[in-house]
Amino acid sequence: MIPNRSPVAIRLGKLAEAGRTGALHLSGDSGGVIYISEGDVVAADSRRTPSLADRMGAGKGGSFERNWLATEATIDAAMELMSARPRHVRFREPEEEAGPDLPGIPGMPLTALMAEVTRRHNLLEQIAVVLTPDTAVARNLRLRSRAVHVSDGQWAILLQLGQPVTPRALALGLGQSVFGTTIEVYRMVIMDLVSVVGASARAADPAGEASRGRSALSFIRALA
Amino acid sequence: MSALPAELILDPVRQIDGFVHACLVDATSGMILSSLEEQNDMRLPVAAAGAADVVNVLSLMTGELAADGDVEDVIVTLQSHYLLIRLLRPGPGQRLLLLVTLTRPHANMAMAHREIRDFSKALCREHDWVA
Repeated sequence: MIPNRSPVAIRLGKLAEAGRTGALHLSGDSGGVIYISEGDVVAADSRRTPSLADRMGAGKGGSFERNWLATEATIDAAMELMSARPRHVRFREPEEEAGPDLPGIPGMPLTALMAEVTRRHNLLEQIAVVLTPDTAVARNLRLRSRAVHVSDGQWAILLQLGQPVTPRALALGLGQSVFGTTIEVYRMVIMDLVSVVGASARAADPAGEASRGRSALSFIRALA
Repeated sequence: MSALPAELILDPVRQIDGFVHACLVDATSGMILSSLEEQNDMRLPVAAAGAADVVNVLSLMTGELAADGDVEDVIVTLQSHYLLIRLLRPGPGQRLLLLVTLTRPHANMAMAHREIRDFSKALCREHDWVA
């Protein structure tokens, strides 16, 4: 589903246009809540991404880091919520429900949020031929190269890959962005450190869809 | 810890001769976290996305080569501009790209490289970042 045409995005757009303040609740397993203040999105929580509280930790870090973590958590959750198909959507005024306590974290205009969600959607589309956040992956027991160099973030993911697991489960376990974890897992698939479970036949075919998709990740091409 | 707002974090880079724009980009997601523009004649999101792509490719290369260490910085020389990209590591699992664009006739590349390195070190010290 194209994020900015989803029912949730349309409803959010009307609330933002009216400069409303409150919380938009989405029911169901893929639901959550989006908090807005005078039309700007200030936070979002999804049941399918690490919670804002988990991402923000114990309040350590300066304003730049806190802003970064809050923005990342909000966009990660908003991306899930934009593609959700909730049975019930309810907007609650601030008198009914207080928003999250995030002093010093500025709200984000809905247009900026949607541009970032769309960019991420385009990136996940690029790599979808290989994996999605819900594709099971496993560590390769044999390395193609004699040695490889990985970042500390990739190493942290590798340590969790004892048995098949999805990037989403990894992200929830590590308290990291689902989007970011999926991108890092994809990079490790490219490096042959990790394989998609059940994809060995496809990966062995150099002309196959999966192999063609392996060189596809491009941040420039993801721009709308 | 610094209480510097995100939009002011790049302010010292404005002093570099030939400065056009600068931004801090999350290297994993490609998201722009902070930006500063002197003139609005280049598409900052394109430059940021390009920088993330360049570092991604170079990281894959160093990964495959098992080279000792990650990318430190990248210098791109265009006919009219210099693009300098420096990789920062605020904390475990976090990677930031600092992209600075300079006009070539007004910039001294060696000096700019040194100033950006010094700025990065000061930023890391100020925020208790790893490197």
